[in-house]
Formats: sequence, structure tokens, C-alpha cells
Amino acid sequence: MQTKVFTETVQDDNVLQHAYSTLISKLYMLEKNRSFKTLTVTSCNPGEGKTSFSASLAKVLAGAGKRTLLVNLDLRKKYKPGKVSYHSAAYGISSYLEGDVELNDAICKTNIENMYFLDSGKYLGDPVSLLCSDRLGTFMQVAGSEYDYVITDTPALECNTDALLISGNTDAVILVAKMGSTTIKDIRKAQTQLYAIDAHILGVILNKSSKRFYKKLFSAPDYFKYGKPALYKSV
Amino acid sequence: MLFRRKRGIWEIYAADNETERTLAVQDGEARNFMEFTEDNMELKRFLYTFLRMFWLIILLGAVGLGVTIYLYGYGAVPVYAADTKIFTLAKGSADSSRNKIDYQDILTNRQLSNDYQDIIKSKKVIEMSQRQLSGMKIDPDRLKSMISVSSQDNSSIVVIRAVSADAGEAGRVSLAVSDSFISTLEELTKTDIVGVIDEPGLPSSPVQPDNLKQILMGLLIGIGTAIIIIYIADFFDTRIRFKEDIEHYTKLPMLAVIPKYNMKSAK
Repeated sequence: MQTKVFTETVQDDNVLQHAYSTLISKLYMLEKNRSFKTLTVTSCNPGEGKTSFSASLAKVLAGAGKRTLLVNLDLRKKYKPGKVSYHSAAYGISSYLEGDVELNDAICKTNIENMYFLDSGKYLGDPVSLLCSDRLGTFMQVAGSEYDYVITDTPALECNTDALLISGNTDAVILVAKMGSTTIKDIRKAQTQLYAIDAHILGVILNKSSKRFYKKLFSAPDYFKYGKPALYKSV
Repeated sequence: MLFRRKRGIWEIYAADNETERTLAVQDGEARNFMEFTEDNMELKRFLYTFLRMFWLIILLGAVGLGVTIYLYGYGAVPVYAADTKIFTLAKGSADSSRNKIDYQDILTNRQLSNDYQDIIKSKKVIEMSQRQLSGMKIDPDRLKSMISVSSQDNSSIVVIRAVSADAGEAGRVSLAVSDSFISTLEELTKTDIVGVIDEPGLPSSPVQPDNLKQILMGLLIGIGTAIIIIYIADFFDTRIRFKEDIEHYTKLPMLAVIPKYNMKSAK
């Protein structure tokens, strides 16, 4: 099995940790109504933070003790230096969908406990043929039974139909929107597209808001920052 | 019509297929409920855009101010003003048996000084002064526009001011008009009730133009334009600005707000 190292980002940052713990507590509450194992993370326009978000979400879920598989289903993305990206592993989901390798050989271990990673793999053809195959549905079923959560990172909806094809095979969709950049029109369009294929939209993530704005959402954000005065001191 | 909201987006999504129609109905139901619960998003968004684009108000205000100051201050031709002061007391009009001037005379003359303003601009005075200034070839309309008459409230002193780009011309016109006025008045009233106090000298420096009104107008026009631009920008702005926008305009649940951070590229 291949291994992959993710840098710790969420743990470094107080505010970020707060945001992600709020998110997974919401996901936990939502799961009581309708269970979901496989999640598609997509956005309306490129560059709104899907890759960062899905990696961080997988890390946080793994940190909460869930066996999490992060899948890079962005089969078109080429690695660009300086841009947030997964470096390609030797095998990936494209190899599995083509039938070249077994699933367990393609999945990488990571430096984070409970977190597993499946890269896109090196695929040069048109991804649509892979995504339309039945093997994607089979993959989602197998992965969903083996892992608590499967998070798939996909291309943006405005670029191509990859994300729609993937959403059709997953239980739920998370739509990432960038604060102050994504328009309501974009989200309405995405909503219409996703409803047309009967996808279940879990909700919208407002990404890349300023920290000042984030702190305003809570009336007492700094309460735990300085530590609560200890009522009971251990002797 | 379900899409009746102000923000331009709703008109675009006129329901033309089954899914969108279903969405529209859901929207309508949700909105009826929202009317009671939501605070005013339109106002909130406008105020946000207003603050975000406040620099435009400052910029256009400064541009408006600058343009008017240039046009009316620096760009204008320097003008010179020459004043002739006339005292209009009727010493001969009083009863000949009395040699002194009483208070009643002063009151009467103060009222008269208002009439003089009309007399100075009359055709007769203008034509007479034009004859005096025959060497300069000024047509009556221009002469009329050069002259302004002012008197303080109920004062017996009338100031005849001539304004011109040429200092010498202003002085001569002022004096000529005053002379014509005095002789006309003497002819009309058969008295010698008026006399020149101060003859105009040669004005040495141009008058400061009184353009405060125009400059303020320029400032206001600049600010007004900026506010109109901000309003239009806000009307067509459908970008997500607040957390509430998602639920208000799309009816999708909000999962979380994630702050900005610098992610180091994964190894």
C-alpha cells in the first residue's frame, strides 16, 4: 500500500478548528434524518476551495474517529506548482475504473490515523467514459461499505459535467461557495442541475470568509480562547 | 408571479421546466414564511455595498469639486470691477422755506433708492452712457450686462459697479453710467438730489469670483452620481455577501462558514 503525507492545517488554527468542528457537528445532526456515506464536494466555479475543503474535512472526520476515504476524482487537473493540489500517486481511481488494479492497491495510507486517500491516477483520455461506467457505482458501494465516509473531490460544475456524473453515484452533495465571489445566480443554476439528477444537496459551505466576519457570527467567540477560570482546582 | 424580488436574479429563472416550476412553488411557500422571520436583506445588502464602495463617493465628490473649481476659479477670465458711489439725497426737494433736512426727507429718499436701480438699467440711461462711451463701441446689451447696482437695505448710498475683463473699460463704464444716471434723474425730477461720492479709480487687481454655489453644486453632482452608481451596482450584484444570503435566496441549508487560511501545499 502506498503512503501519503498530509500537512496539518486545521490543527494549527484556532478559528479554523472551530469552523470545522461546527461543520462536523452539523453533519452528525443531519445524518440522523437521512444517512449518507459517500459525499461529493463540488462548487460552481473553479478556485473556490474544493480541494482544500475536502482535504480538511477528511482530516477532521478522521480526527473524530471515523474511517474516512478521500478520493480525488478531479481527473482533468494537472499539477501546477504553487497551487493547492495532491501530488499524483502511481495508481489512482482511474486505474481502478479501467480495471488495472484492485481497489486496496490503489488506496494510499496517510500520516493521519483513520484517513485514507485515493488519487486520480495518471489518466490521459476523456474522463467522461470512465465516469459513465458502472464501475463508479460499484466503487461507491464497495467504498461506502468499507469506510464510514467517502469524500470525493470533483471539478467545478461550470467547467464540465464530471461533478454531475459523480453526484449521481453518491449519497449527498456539499456545495462549496466562495464568500464575495460566487453569485446567487451560480448557486441557483447548480441547484437546478443537481435537483434534475435527484441529487441530495446537504447544504452550502461559505468558504474563504474573512476571520473578522467569521468571529462576528458568534456573540462570544473568544470565550474559550483565554481559558475558563477554574472552579475546581485539582490538588 | 413568484419571482417578484428586487434582485435581478428571479426574473432570469422564469420556470420553464418541471424541476424549476417545483422549485418556484417551494420558493413561494418558503418566502411567505420568511416574510415574518427574515430581517431586511435588501437594505442590509445596500448598506454593505454603500460602505464597500464609499471610496467612489469620495472620488467622484473630489472630481466634481475639482472640475467646478477649475472651471469657475482658475479657468475663468480675470475680471475687474469699478465702483462708483452715489448719494441720493434730495436737498432741493424739501420745502424751500426750510433749509435743514429732516428725517422725513431721508425716509423718502431711501425708498426712492430702490427705484433708481430700475432707472439705471433703463434704455434712456444706457443709450446716454453709450453716447458718452462712443469711442469704445459697446453695444447696449453688453453694457447692461456689465453693470450691477447695489444698495444696502434702506441706505441712501447706491453703488454702481461695472465689471469687465479690461480694468480701464470697467472704470470708464462705471463713471459714464453714473453720469448719465445723475443727469437723467435731474432731468426727470427737476432737482439736484444726487451726487457722486466716490469716483472709480483704476481697479488694480481682479475681483474674486463668488462661485460657492457652483462649487457646492459640483460637489453634490459628484456625490449624487456616486450614489446612483452604487445603487445600480448593488441592484445587479448577486454575489454572496452574508451568511443569510444562501437561505434567503436559494433555500438551501447553510452548513458552515469557513474562514480564509493559507494552506501549505500537501506533500
